[in-house]
Amino acid sequence: MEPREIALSLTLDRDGVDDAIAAAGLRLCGVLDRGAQIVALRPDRAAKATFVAGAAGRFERLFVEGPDADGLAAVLAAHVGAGA
Amino acid sequence: MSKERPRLADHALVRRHLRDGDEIAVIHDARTGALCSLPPRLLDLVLLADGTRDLEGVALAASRAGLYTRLSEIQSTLDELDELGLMDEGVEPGPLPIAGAGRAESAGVPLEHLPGYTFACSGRGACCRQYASVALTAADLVRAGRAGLATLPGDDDARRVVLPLYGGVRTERVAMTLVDGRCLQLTSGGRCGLEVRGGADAKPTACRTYPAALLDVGDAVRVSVSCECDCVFESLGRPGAALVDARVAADLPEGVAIPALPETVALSPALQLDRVAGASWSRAIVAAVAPERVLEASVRLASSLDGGGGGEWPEVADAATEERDVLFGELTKLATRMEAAALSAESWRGSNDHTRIARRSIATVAREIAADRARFDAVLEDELRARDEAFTVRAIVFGHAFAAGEDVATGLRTLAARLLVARGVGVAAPQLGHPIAVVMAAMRGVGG
Repeated sequence: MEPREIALSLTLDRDGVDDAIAAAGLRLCGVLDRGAQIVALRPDRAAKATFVAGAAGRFERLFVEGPDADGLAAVLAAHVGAGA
Repeated sequence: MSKERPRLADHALVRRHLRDGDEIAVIHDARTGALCSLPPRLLDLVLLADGTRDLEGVALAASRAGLYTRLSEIQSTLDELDELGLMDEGVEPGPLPIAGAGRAESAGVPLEHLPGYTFACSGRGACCRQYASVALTAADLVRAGRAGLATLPGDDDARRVVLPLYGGVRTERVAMTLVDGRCLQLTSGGRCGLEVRGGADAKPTACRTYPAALLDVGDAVRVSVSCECDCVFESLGRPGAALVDARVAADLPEGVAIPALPETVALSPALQLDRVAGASWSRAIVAAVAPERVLEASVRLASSLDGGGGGEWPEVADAATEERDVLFGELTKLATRMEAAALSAESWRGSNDHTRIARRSIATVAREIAADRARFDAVLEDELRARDEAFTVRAIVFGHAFAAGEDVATGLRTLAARLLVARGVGVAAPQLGHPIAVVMAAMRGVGG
């Protein structure tokens, strides 16, 4: 299944990403591209979120995927004020 | 943080404490004596920085352990410790060599016991509640585990029983958790819980050989005694056993540290002897120490050493003014150091912690005597414990147990001041135990 992008109403700093991960009940699982991509999964592996930073270092894009991507998208959207 | 893959430095000594019911971690800087404290959760994060992980790696490890909240929390914690000089970079090269320790050069080297002394442990556990570290080897920990370890409340997996003795990674040697300054394994009855459950072999090696203080002088391994426990003095003049059950160095328990007398023994800045002559000197002094005017004689001997002489223990018929003045000066320095040590202890030790209580008592007594010359003179005339004082000097000299880097003359003056304060502690705070033991234990690592 292709990852689905969630539009963010604001960019996030790293604290914002970490807070979103905690709020969604995810676990930090991967840090890629020298910290420009943060990957977090639900402990049951049913959903995954990938936060991607832009050139300015702030996280501008958020992708969700997995069998329960819709559920995760809803939770994240509520936390980060995004449009799912 | 300037360190890409940080870990706690070797000189960062982390100890877990249950203090008045609350758990804290205290990190001592072995270089400076400074200390800081952390809540247990932050300690767990810091220990994940093991020198192989960059910051994000520490974050991932924290996530796996269920500890992760924010990268910034990890970063700020490590940054603070780095600013205190407690962090290092990368992987350590191996176990930290124990300074001056190792087996005697020849396994057949005989043991030379402190003449005339045998020991009987009182079993009251005084020694189990007065040290900043209760050290175990990895083998000790295995035996202790078989006997059954006491744990902190809620620590069903026994993960909070020990920490690395130094730094945050290596576990060849570990330090026991302390409860209000007492070893976690000490029972409410003052017995070693490991020994109760598993027999004598379950006790850590260092505990089994305590209070023996070993020193390799080349042609022998001396067995002296640390004068830091009541029963060391209670054993004087009573039947007991040899401090260690061994004839030659090879018979000593594995894992016992045996520091070596340096090749050059500094009796004073003006007088240095080679190891053989230094050992011969101390042997002669030990034989000559008399239980009269011990404090003044120690100071007079120190002065003689400073002048390049000092082959013999001096006779002091009365308290000479010069020795009194020197002793008063040493007392004043001791009082200052002890006040700082007491304040440090009060900053983090629990209200029932014996070390905290002892240090405050000692600081108070030292300050009061130093502030009143007439009282100082009166204390100097109090020869009630002259036998014990003479024994202490003999034990220290026999084992060359002066502070690291301290010449013998300086050490003798420092010791005399401690014995003077002990006289005052014996009057002001007899409930703490044998006053010389109390002072010597409380001042370990304090200096002065």
